[in-house]
Amino acid sequence: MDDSQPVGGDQVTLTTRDPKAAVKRPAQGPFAALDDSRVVQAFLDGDAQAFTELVVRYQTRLLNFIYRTIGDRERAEDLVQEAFVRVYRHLHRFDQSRKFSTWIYTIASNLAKNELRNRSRNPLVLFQTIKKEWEADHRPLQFEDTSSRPDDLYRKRHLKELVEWSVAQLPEHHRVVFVLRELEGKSYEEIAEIAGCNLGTVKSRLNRARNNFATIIAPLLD
Amino acid sequence: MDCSQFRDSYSDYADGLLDEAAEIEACRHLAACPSCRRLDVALHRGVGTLRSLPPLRAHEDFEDRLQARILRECMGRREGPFPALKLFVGVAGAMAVVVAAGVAGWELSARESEEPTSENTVRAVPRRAPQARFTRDTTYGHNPFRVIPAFQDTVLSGAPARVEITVDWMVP
Repeated sequence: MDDSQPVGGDQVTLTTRDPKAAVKRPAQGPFAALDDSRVVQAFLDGDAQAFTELVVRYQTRLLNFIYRTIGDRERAEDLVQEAFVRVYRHLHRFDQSRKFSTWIYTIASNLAKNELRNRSRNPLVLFQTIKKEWEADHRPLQFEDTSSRPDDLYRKRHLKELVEWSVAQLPEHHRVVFVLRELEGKSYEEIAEIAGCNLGTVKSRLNRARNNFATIIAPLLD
Repeated sequence: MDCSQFRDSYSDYADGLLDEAAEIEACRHLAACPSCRRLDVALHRGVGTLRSLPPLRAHEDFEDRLQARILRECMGRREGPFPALKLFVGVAGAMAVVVAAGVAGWELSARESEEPTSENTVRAVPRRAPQARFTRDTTYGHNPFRVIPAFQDTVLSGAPARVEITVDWMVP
């Protein structure tokens, strides 16, 4: 069973919302000053533009979170789309006493976990991922910043690749906790809710992840 | 504090969650231990590099594709205006199949239990002399004749019985 399905019924209420209006980016959103819970309430009250605001707020964050977890950019974008479709479908069942950001990260995290699980079971998908990474390794060097010297750029890019590779070496459940803490800045409580484990487990995983990451990256930085 | 203790509490140290005494201990160890200092520097530098990376941006058509997906989702759900009725029909259909399969199995097992034995086999001879005729069949070149029985004899009996019928074929 898919973990990311929120608990409850499965019916979409569309009577007051126009799906054509959803996701069309407003020129200057009326929701920009509102917090997530008010935007969610506006959407539930029938304002489809509120959904656009949620997409604008979370698409980049979710894309980076899922990309760091699964390591495949295109697939990460598909999964972000899937996360938003699920939010659209199930938002009327969202418990508004909880934080929306935690809920949407939980959906994204479960989708990423399912992706990794499916990938480990399907050798073809695994091969395609490896092939993509191989192609990326052989792309020509791009000098996007003309103000820096080429050797500085090369070192910078090399460092970036080393750091990303080091994150990818962490075991999946350590990686999720590490990314949520170090890159997304989530609290221990939020991480526990997103990862579906208790605080003690979060602390223990994070400590191991940090030690492992430092051990992997240290000789590469010397 | 030794290296093992320091690394066990490293995450708390990095997040500033140690109490004052433990933090002083950790700082002292860090100042004295080059190995742990190296790890601490590596973590901060690595995380700093990760945070400085420009975030990935979704493709330009991301929102258009998302809108199309949501529209498809809504259209798919609107096709069936009575989801509860659909569910009921589905469950009822599944139950009907299960019941039919159960009845068929029960019928079959009942028949098998009444399988005739050699004792109740009936030997019957048709009342009329059986006839058959050959007819030419041009469909199959290698076997131009086929046998058409002139009639079929049946034995009606209340009890199940194996029937053996002796037939004398009329040679053309």
